[in-house]
Amino acid sequence: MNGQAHDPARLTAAERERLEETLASYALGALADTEAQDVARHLTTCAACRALAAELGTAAALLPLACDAVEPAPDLKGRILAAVEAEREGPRQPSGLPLPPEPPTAREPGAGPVRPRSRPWTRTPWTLATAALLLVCLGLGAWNLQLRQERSRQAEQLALYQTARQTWALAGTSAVPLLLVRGLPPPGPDRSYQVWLIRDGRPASARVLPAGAGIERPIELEQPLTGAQTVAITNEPAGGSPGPTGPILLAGEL
Amino acid sequence: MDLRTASDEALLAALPDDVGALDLLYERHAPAAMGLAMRMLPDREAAEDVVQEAFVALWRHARSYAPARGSVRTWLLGIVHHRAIDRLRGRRPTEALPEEVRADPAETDVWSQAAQRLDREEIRRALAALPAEQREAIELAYFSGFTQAQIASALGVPLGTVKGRLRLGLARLRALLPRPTETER
Repeated sequence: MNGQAHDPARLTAAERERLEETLASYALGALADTEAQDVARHLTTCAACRALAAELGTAAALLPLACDAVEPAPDLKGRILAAVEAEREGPRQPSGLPLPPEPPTAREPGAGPVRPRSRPWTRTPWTLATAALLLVCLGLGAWNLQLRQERSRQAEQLALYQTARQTWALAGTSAVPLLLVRGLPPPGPDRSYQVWLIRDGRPASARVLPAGAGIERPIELEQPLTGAQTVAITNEPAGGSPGPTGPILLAGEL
Repeated sequence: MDLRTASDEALLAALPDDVGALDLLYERHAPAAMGLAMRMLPDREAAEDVVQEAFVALWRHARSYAPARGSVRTWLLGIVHHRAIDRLRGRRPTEALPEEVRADPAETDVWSQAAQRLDREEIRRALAALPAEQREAIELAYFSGFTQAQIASALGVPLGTVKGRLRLGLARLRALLPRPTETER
């Protein structure tokens, strides 16, 4: 894509198809950042692409409406209103004007908006692009199928395990491993799933899940894989055990 | 004006001064915002952070909303989506709102307007009617924040195949959604 406007009448079918591919991916947010910036620049000069991009964008914008509604925590509204009130009281630019992007570090202490409970990015390591790459399974019925059909393992996929009833995988990086298990049902009342990394026969707890919680989403392990030969999940009394006591539900060699 | 019966657009117009209007917008749309954030992010805490950021952005930028670009709910969900993608890709959260593409006024099609009135079931039916590999590619792109190349790598298929699935899937989705009827025009 360059600065030239397209004349739809003069495009070949193949050219049009390529253009639609780029614009569909743009609408879905699937372009790499630099490519997306190129498209955004092109759209400022090309009315034909702008019309098509707007149309595809409308279709993409409907996707969130297919999600199930989820009740937020009761205190979230209070946190938002408090953040807004705090920002109103602080010195800010006249309200209503579009604000330029501000670097988060540029604010003077105490002068900026208060964001209760907002955590530094460094503490959410799963946001690493490499880890995100394998968050394939979120709500996706396709995930199991995809793993079953997997022909080659990706670099980011550290291990893939299959048992008769479960397909599960370790993803992320060895420093910040993510365990992906599809639909492990709740462990029972007053029971917790616990993940273990086993080094030379000695299991170390890598994560205890909340009591009664099944595994539906990727879980981040609390220790790196370094030196471990096996990863396993057991069903333990609520809160976990110092060493595995319950039956091993899943285990895999690293 | 009784805020409780006011339209979303009227509530947004009362921002940023009337925080009560934000309260009502939250009551109406927070579960949808939370639903999207939970679908995209692996834990509730991160999802709530994103929803909080989105409502604060909505409040802060209320005056830059233009009804022609879609409903308030779609606008809010667009902000949630943008912030969640920032997290999935490990980007610093930006203050900027997601870039929106608007067709030139003369070319704004009726479908865009009517699309805003579709309900969850209609959209689900349309998604369910897509060929599985197109739906999968679209979901990986939109909900998991994967780029074309990442989808290709995750699925073990060529990049060109992914580009084609995204194009066909989105075009088909648009075609499957009910057309506005004559009476709606």
